[in-house]
Amino acid sequence: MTQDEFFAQLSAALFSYAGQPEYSELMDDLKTHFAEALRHGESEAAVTARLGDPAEIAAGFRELMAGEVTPDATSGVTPAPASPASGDEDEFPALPPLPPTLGPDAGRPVLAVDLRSANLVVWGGPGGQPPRVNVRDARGWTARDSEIRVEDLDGSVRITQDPPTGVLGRLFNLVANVTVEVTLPVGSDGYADIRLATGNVELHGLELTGPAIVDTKVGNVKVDRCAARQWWVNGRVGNVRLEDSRGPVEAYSRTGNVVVANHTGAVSADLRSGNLTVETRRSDAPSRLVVRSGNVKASVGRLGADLWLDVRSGNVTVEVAELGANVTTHSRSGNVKAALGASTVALFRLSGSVVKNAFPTTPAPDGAPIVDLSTRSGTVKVTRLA
Amino acid sequence: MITQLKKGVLELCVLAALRDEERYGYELITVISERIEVTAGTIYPLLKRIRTDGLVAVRTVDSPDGPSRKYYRLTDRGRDELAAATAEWTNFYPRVNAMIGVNP
Repeated sequence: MTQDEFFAQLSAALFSYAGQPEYSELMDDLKTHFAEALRHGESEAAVTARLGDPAEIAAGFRELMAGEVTPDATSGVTPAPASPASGDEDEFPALPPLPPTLGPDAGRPVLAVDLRSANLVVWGGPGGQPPRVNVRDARGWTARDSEIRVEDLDGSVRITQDPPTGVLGRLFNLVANVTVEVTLPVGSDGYADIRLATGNVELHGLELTGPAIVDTKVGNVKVDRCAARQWWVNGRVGNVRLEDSRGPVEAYSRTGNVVVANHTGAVSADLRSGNLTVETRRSDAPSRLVVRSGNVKASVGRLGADLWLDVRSGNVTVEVAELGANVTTHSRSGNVKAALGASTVALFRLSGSVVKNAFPTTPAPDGAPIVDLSTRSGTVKVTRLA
Repeated sequence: MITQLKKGVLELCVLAALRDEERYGYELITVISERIEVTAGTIYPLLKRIRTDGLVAVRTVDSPDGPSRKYYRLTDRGRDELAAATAEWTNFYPRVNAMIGVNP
């Protein structure tokens, strides 16, 4: 086995750890090992033979990352040989994470929402105007808003909902039949923290200097023409859609689809079952797209930082017009299609059944981005972007 | 059982190889794999773990004619662990040999 083959196999096996410091450290250690060994006159084949099967090294690494708890360590029972399926399980990071903790640099809360059962619509209004809040029921009438509490603390809006009262209250609580409509001045200085148990969230034309957290347990999230320093959006059981917006995004959904369209900024997403579509003009921070069962289509205008895609069962389509960083995609069962700008120069590592590569595979100059595409059972195809 | 045993033994070997001197990764692996058959690549994750556990410490040394080297050395905790593991091993293996009818 050559050095390139060794690293291709190892990085494919440890795909979902890419970008983590322990992963980088392992790769650096092994690269240093190769350099030392070659300096000592060993052949690449001898070094790879001694280092051993990349799968075994990957298993050792996963164990390290899992914190050393293995079935045989606790029970004394020899485990059955790992099936590919159980091995795969380990490669996926835990999901979805909790909303990030906001540091002191997040600024003050421009909008803090904690609703049990209501829909939320936020509009960006003219700058310099005080925020406005309107509560209406499904028929458009102004609702008796006794259970929705609105506090305006010097331009910082806090909206909460009283717990349900009585049988009917608890019953109707199941349906989000109240809509809270908020108008905030654009360019608001601070962050938004929006949490709903049941209800849809829509944000239109909202611009914040701080981060935005949107978390609804049952509901859809729609964000359009908005900007924030960082987006953290979790639709859980619903769909998530961001369009014409700006700022780095982390999007999660358990059972819904995620669409990020006409965006500016790096996008990371983690879906359990659903399709993912990402279309961003510019990506300047590392991004990871993880999907367990669903198709992924990612299209990036200018890629300035590494992009990783990990799909268990589904097809992957990647388009990058200007490739300025590495692209790695890994699919377990699905086809991988990549379309790259016509002038792309990259080092290609393709594994799976390669049906086409429109680019020269060797040699690439030092420092050229690496395009690493692999599928366990599917085809790999690389074309030039029209 | 075998997997666990191998791992424990490999850790013991790594600690033992560092008993008298600090070594860098490649050197350490050469020393060990000259004596026992081992998937050498797994030693790196192992080094990382025992480093996290505080058994070894690392010193990075720039090398003029190659990549910088990470030198590993035993910490006091590492020495305690080596002593404990050595005692465990020397107590363990004659019993196993007796059990399976092999004279040491």
